[in-house]
Amino acid sequence: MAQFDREQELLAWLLFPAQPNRRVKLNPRGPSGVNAMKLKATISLSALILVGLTVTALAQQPKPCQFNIVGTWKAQVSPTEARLYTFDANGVVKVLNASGADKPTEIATAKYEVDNPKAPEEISFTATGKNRIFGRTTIAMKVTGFNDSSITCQIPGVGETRWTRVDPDRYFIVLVAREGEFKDDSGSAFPVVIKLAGGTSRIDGAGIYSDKGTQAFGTVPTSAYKEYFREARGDSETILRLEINSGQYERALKVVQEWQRRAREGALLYTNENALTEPLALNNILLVKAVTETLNQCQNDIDLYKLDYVFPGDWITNEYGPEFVPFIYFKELRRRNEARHIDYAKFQELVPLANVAIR
Amino acid sequence: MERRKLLARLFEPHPASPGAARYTNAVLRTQNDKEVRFYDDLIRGKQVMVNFMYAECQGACSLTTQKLKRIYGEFKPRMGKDLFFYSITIKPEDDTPAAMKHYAQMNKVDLPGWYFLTGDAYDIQTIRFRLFGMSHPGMDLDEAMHAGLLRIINDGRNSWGMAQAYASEKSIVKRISWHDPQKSYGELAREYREVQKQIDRDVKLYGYRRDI
Repeated sequence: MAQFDREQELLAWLLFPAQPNRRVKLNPRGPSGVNAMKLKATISLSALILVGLTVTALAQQPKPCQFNIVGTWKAQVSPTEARLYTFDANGVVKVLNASGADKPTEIATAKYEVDNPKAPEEISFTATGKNRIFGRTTIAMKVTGFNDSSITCQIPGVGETRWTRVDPDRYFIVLVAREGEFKDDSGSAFPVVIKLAGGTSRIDGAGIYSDKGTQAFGTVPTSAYKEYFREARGDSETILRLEINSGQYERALKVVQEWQRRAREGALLYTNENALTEPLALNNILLVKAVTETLNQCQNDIDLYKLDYVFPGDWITNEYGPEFVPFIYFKELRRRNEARHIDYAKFQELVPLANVAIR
Repeated sequence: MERRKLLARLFEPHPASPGAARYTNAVLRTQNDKEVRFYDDLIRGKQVMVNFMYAECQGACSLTTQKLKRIYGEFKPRMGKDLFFYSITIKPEDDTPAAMKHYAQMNKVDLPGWYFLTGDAYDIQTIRFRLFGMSHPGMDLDEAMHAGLLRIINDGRNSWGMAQAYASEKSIVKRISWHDPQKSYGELAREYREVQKQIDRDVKLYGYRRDI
């Protein structure tokens, strides 16, 4: 505590050096010899911390959740009845009534307009068919909250309602890593995103993989990721399979595709030219960090480890070299999300591997 | 195309220059909405100073821009001829060429040889890492960590250095000058003679060499 007070005083002194009544008792004996050096070191350290804090405060803003109304949303009216709202990209919404096992029937159509597509506050509707929407020809509903899979809205005359996204497709992310594979004892480490639609799977992966025993970075070939369609073998491997929603999938896919493109075009962020060590490993850290963090962009869905290089919270980057960081990171994510992990037997039932379509 | 060939002849890179492999040849747009290629048009054979900023930045960027404006004054006769300043946005999704023009005009820095550049986020991130990467993902992902740094390059000499934007103007001017085009032996001898004269004068007056 005394140390903290002293640092606070030092910072105050650094910020307001001209204050006549500052209460800084840095060295009662005056700055001389070893004590002067200690004083200089402390001031320099505090200045660095101060600059660091200011700069970090300016920059560390999480990416906002992107709103996407397009698709089908379900509002439960009663235990046996629900309304389905199907929004298309051209500003048209269809309202369907779903009751029991019957086929949903269209009850209204309307034009819709979102006031701010990125951060909406209001969605206005104008009925275009014979029937009204929410009992009126024109109506505006307030959006009070949203994430990837739900919208909470305030509809005049109806009250607060929660809509949940209805998606016929299923999405998965598989985080795969191992050690002891390459000369430096590190190994493959890559994320794979899977979309299961209409009986076929689309699989995309990027990261470090083994190309005939040699370390390679880029689009993970089918042969490399198919090897991990099984349970992890021992402690030198880790595999985490999670089911995700369409928003998470789209964002993760975007990151994977960006890194596939970087590898293809020779536009990797770290190269032998500008990195002091292990450029491929450093690129892979950026990739796995981006792809996993994008999963929690709209809601705290998975138990994520904070890979931010800030000690002591981030013990992984503090204790391991860059080539081992993705492996340890995936291992930690598996430990934290064990309950949500899909074991291989179940995964095999869900994803028809015979129809795998690699991009 | 002809103009590009002519410029390429005027500004010859050093034979050991890493060229577009390091700097990339990403297509960027200036504040005048002119399309430029990062290496071929902006770096090749030239002496340049590059920094990152964004138009809506209220704090550090404006201070840095004002400081660079004063430094620009020190190099005015050379600006746009063999020395260039490039301020690249870190928020290309918000900063259109018009926004960059507005920023340059508002800060009275829409000057010859000083380009405010925007482009595709993918390309700008590549350039930012290639010029300012510190082999530390934690620091490199933090865009603001690069905002206080100035990268100085002379592709004709294949030299590159760094200056702190918060350093004194004198220090920044000195650091830019370290990367000036190679001088002839005659010129260097004349400069050294002048420096020696000043040292001798200081020693006579004060008994020691003062800051030259």
